[in-house]
Amino acid sequence: MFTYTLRRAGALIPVLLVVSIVVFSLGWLAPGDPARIVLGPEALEADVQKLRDSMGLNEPLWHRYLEWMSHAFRGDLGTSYFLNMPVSTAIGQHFGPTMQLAVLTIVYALVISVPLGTLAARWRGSAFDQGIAGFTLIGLTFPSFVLSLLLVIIFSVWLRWLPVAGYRDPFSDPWNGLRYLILPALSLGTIYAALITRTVRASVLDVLKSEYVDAARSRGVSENRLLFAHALRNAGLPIITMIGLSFASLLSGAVVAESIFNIPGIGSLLVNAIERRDYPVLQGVVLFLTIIYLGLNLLVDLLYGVIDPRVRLTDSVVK
Amino acid sequence: MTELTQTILGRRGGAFSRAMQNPHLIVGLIIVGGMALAAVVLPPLMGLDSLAVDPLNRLKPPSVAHPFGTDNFGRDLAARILFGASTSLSLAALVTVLAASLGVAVGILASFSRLLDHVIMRICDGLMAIPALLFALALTATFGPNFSNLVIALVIVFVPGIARLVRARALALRSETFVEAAIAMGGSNLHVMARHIFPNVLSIVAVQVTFIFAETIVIEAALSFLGAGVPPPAASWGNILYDGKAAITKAPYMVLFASTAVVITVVGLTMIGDGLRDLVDPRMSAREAGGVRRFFRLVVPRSGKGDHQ
Amino acid sequence: MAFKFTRRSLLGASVLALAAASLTFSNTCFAEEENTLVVAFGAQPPSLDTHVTTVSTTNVLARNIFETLVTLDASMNVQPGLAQSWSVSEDGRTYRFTLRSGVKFHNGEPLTSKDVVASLKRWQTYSLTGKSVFEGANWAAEGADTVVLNLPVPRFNALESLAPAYTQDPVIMPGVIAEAATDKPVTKLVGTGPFRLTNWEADRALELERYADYTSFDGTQSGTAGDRTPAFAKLRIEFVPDESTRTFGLSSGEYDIATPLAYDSISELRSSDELNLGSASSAMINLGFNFGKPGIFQDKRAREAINLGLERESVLTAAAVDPQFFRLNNHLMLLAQKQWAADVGKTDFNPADVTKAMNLLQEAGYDGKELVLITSRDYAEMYNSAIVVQQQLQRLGLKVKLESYDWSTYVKARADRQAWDLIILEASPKPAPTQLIFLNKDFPGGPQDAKLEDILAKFRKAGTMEQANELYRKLEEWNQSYIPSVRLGEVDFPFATSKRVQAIDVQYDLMFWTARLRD
Repeated sequence: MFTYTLRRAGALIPVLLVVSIVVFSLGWLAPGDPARIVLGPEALEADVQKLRDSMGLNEPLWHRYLEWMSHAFRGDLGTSYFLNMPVSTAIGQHFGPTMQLAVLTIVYALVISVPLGTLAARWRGSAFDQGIAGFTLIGLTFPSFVLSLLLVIIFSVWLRWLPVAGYRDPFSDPWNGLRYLILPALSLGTIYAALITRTVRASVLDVLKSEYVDAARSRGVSENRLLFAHALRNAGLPIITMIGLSFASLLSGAVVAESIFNIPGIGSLLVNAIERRDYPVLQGVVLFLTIIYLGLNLLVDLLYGVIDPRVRLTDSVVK
Repeated sequence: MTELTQTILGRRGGAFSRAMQNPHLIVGLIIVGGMALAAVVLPPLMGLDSLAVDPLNRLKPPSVAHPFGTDNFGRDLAARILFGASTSLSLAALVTVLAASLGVAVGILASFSRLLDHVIMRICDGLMAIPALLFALALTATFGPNFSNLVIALVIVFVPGIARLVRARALALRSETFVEAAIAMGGSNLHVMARHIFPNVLSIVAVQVTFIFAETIVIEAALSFLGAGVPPPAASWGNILYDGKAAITKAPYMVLFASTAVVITVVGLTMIGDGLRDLVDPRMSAREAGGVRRFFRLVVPRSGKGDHQ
Repeated sequence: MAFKFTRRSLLGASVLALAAASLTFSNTCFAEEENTLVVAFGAQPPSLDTHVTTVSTTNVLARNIFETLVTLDASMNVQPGLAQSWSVSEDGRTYRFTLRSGVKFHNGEPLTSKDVVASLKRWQTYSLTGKSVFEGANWAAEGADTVVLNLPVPRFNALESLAPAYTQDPVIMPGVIAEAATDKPVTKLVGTGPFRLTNWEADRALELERYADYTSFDGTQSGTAGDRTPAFAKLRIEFVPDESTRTFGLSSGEYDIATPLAYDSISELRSSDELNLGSASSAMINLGFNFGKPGIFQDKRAREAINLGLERESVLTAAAVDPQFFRLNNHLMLLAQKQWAADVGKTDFNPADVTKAMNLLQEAGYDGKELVLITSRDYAEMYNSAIVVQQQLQRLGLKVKLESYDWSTYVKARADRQAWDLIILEASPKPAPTQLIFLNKDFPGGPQDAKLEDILAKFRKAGTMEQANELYRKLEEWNQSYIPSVRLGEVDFPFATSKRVQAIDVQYDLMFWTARLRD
């Protein structure tokens, strides 16, 4: 188990190396100039060039890359050009809203999907099941940013129930904090709800077909009790996987939602960094997101082994 | 396997009738084909111009003269959505064809050399670890916003996934008896690649391609929506949504019409993909795997491990 | 592994459903808490250092924290600021400023002449105004409270240039900070102003509080002059890049002030009696020619053709929608800058004469070559004008390709002389015509003309306002015959306040310390 974990983690190093090179060269290739952004549109080119010198932007690329990498290894991701703070601090500040949104989204998705999926399995083939199948198809194909726009039209423009966009810290102001997060969570969560509904339905069906459920049924255990106490409990493994993967993707994938709803999370930080050519932030955030994603993936795999000892952890998954 | 390929390519008589019995495929084809046909036929027929501005008639709701209303420059929204359809569909077609050919070539090549395999697959892993949308966003920001750069960016985003898929299938094929026999009989690498491996990876690629097609449409819309996609004033669904977002309180119909177009097309494409999967691999529950896979490839960094076989 | 969470989440579902059912449009006003003025502000500026950053939003925010030697009252007359008084020598070359006593920086240190000298030297080195007006000038401290400025020649606008402006205010910061600073923006934001910066949440908000030890200027408030002590305790600037969020938050009572507003939301906001509308600042929108690239527009007839052929009314309607917020103007300065004469040239400058324009283009020998027009999508008024301009140019028979970039790429593309022929340029107004960016030969694509340089050189050395105005007429005449760029018009940036804000004053842009709140 331990060596397996080590080896899996070790396999991530070349991946991260490639990512760092790609991200670094993208920053270098991109047109635009952080020095120009700092000085503003009316500053003269000569002044911009001078500032480039003092910001170290005129150093050769490989030199800047090596310097950045050597610092990154020591956990120092550099300092933002615009935010007057280290990149790691900026990530820390922006991680909260993204995390809150992710949690709320997953909660919403579970609240929708677990009962729907279970009941669809219970009444499989019925009109209800068909309806659920239709819902999940729509849910999966509906691009979430399109859904967010439609939700804004319905709940903010027409009904005026919820704010168009924005963010309040839910810890200092729970009521408004929640109101601001509802639409983003709904629009992001629907796709996950559809996804988890399918997973729940499929795994509950698998369990319902198994012998020990038959046995329990023959002992006279009620169908509902069977469903919720036995089937759902044992259908947990794929669901856990799905939640883990969804969570990983939510932390990194909420860029458009954060941009639409103006939530100051990691996604907004990244989009701003691209717009302002804030290279240290751009590089730091992409590296951070990649590590988070790969890390959570690894965790899900490891959890498999812990939850279900039948799953043997071997290197077969890793080349 | 060869049989299935032939089924897909329609060399056998039964293929067409089997396809006709697949409702997903039929409905999907009708939706997407209808959209494409409308985009090609309607604008010249109705004399539509997607670029003619009329600032004094901005944001007018649907009327007889403008069935979908006008946008924030007074341009006809119906015209813009139809031109947007041809932008989106041709972009997606181009990206799909290029990404598929490049991905197949790279994937097969990787399966024939250990060293090359290691290098290529590490690069693919790295590229796939960056979430697709972010990657495309960074690439278009780098290359500058124009149509061909957008195509290049999206191809770079999609190639690693196809390459991985093809490589896995090709490696599996290499241990199949008929390929081993060909190698034993002294067939050159090139011959084996072209004659035996290539035709047999086509089936999985065909399915993958429809999902990439749908993904391209969504990513284009998202990128243009973030201001990094098809450069305005050219009409694209993402550009309409971008303009519509700014006028969302005054003219919500802009967002409504454009999103409907996106959703219908994506649903149509997903149905085609699911239908194709049924044809290629009837054992698999198409909707299940297709939807899930498509979704995860879209929103998350694509981990390559699922493709190992 | 037991899955207890399932039952809990079912319970959670019902709770959430109940909560959702009871959701109504709540009218919670944060703004009313703790006597705070909450402002929804567009984008966060790249820095708050006006010495180096040329962005106007930098100025608007920085002047709550920092102050200048002199100020301007409501009629734009120079009034005391950090300098209590001053005297000018007979020859107009030496200024002697006496500093106000008892002024303290936000870090508790007293303001001395050394701080002023260090700050203004840095400002003179890096800012565009400093470089242009104070070339060759020298600053010296005499004792703790006297600052002496020596100019090589008298300047008509030396004093005015030390007052607040649209951009790059000559603000005073502690000498130690100014001396240590380079051309990188300073990060220690310590001033003498009415507000002290307490917290800057990156990309989210700027929190300021009334400076307890604030020493105000004399007299009643008028423009940036007079008493500047705020009537409220805290100022919270929230960065809200999304226009509809700013508007929505204003009507829901979360914000007291929203600036700038989307032009499309104006009609809706105007109908509400809960809100007041105004314009915070202005910009000039020009269609610029690239003088750095050989091509058709080196020919004056081609430039004239564009000037004659464009129909500015629809361009501006697309840009700013509401006639309250745009004006046609063919002069170099804003119509509001009344100190500069606006009587040069003909009044009918927007004939939209397509036939004449096409003839001129033919005379100039236009060969159907594709011309590139660049603009930025990040600013709606720039992007919207560009779309209409492109359509109109095509009507004149020009083949025009519109390239619209994000702001960073736009600025980079602009610097590349080969990349474009025409540009939509949004220029910030300046106190003197010599500082206008689109007349600067070093600005990308800027006009290269000996006569212009001659007028500008004389202008910079003008000793009195009369001389300056005489030169301004000459400059206007040159501008209207040479047509270095086509002036499309000026647009205002609207803002709105909730009814809670009784009054707020504007000089170049909003002055938040002047806000009076209803309680």
